[in-house]
Amino acid sequence: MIEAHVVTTRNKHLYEREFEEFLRRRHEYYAVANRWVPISDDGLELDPFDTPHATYMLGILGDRVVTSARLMPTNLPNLVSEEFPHMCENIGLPRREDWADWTRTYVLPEYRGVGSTGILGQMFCAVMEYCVEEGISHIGGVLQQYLLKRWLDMGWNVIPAGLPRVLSGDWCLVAYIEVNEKALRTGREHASVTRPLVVRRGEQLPFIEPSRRPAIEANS
Amino acid sequence: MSAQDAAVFEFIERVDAHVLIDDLLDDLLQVVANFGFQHMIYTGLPAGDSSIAPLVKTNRFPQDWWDLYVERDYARTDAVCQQVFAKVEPFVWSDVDPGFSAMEGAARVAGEAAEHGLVDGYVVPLFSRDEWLSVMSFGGPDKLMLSPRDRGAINLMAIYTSSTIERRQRKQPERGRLTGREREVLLWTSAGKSCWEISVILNVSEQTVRFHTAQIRAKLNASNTTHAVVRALQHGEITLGQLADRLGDIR
Repeated sequence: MIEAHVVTTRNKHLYEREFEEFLRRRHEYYAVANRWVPISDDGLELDPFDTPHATYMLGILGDRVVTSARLMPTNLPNLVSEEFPHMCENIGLPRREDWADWTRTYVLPEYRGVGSTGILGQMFCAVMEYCVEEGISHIGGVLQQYLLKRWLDMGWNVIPAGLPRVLSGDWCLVAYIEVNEKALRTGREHASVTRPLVVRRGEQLPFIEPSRRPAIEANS
Repeated sequence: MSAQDAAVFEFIERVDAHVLIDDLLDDLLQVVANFGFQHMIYTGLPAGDSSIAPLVKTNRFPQDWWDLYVERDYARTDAVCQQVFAKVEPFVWSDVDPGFSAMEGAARVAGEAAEHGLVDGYVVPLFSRDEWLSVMSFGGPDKLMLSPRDRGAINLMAIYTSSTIERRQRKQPERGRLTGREREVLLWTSAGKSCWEISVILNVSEQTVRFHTAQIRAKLNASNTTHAVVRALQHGEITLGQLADRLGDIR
């Protein structure tokens, strides 16, 4: 089972090798193999949302980063707010620090396709575990339609922000999962996860930091 | 937001509230009626030579059409079904790639479907909880004109409904009792009779016997016939005495 390490600006120095490996593998897959994003000179894939406010989760198996996730409070610029606000016609664009935008869900190709008990299911559980710990109330973002079924199969309550649309050839939508203990329990049951997966090393950065709130609101 | 969109999101909100799957399907069919549909099915697709019958999760297709579809094994020549295997994307039945609709037998399946009130439809490929390639397919009596938003709405309803159905069926596994005819078929099978021999003994078609054996395996959650016999004994569906009788008959 994976260990899901929480990486923020505070403890990133402890994960330099893992973090670079993660960005490199993503770049290989998305840019080089599939040409979904531009090829970058340094072989690492970064986007405008790789800011000091992003929280990363690196799913590590043995000494390899096999899966990942990136979380961002929705009161800061995020993928949905900047690129897909028109896809939230049902609930309106969320802009709350306790609603998290979830991107960079990625599993190394050689670790894919092993059903509900696979790496992806474990990462889903780790993300839910982290959200419960951090007091996040909803987590979601833009996702491919087939992943919505995976979320629902975890026993999760998912709010569709809008109707699915075709984006670059794939049916996608914006949706948010309700975070709570029950969701963690049913998710673990579905993914056959029997223990906590989140690992925290070094100094931690709370996802919702009360002291940060006024400054952010002043900036926006 | 249009009234039709609002109806879709309201349906999503109450999808988990229905106690009975039948009530959920009634509700779904009422909402999709606005898009021109009257019937739906949620089923896994058969791999290799297996029958589609045991893979059906919920079925609101016209019963006589579905009986025909299973008996004649139409999944193998149905262009809609074959396209889903090739390309896991939702599509309107009448927009099926010419490569599939031109296949032998495909026109006949489409024609007979139309005679049973399924003139056109929309199919949403899905992966079941256990990752089996499945579809939720909607059919109606008229040619469809679906906008991209309509399609998105149907996709969304299909995804929510399918997951709810699977979670319900898993909580209350309805292990249906075998019918008298199924018990008969199982007993003859365990006595070593082939499907053809059983079809002669029971005076039915060989295809019907295959249909029964598929149903038996599904009801008993058995992977093959030997497994089905063992489970039927465990569940008291058949007895050792009955088995001995059949073996006696062929001695």
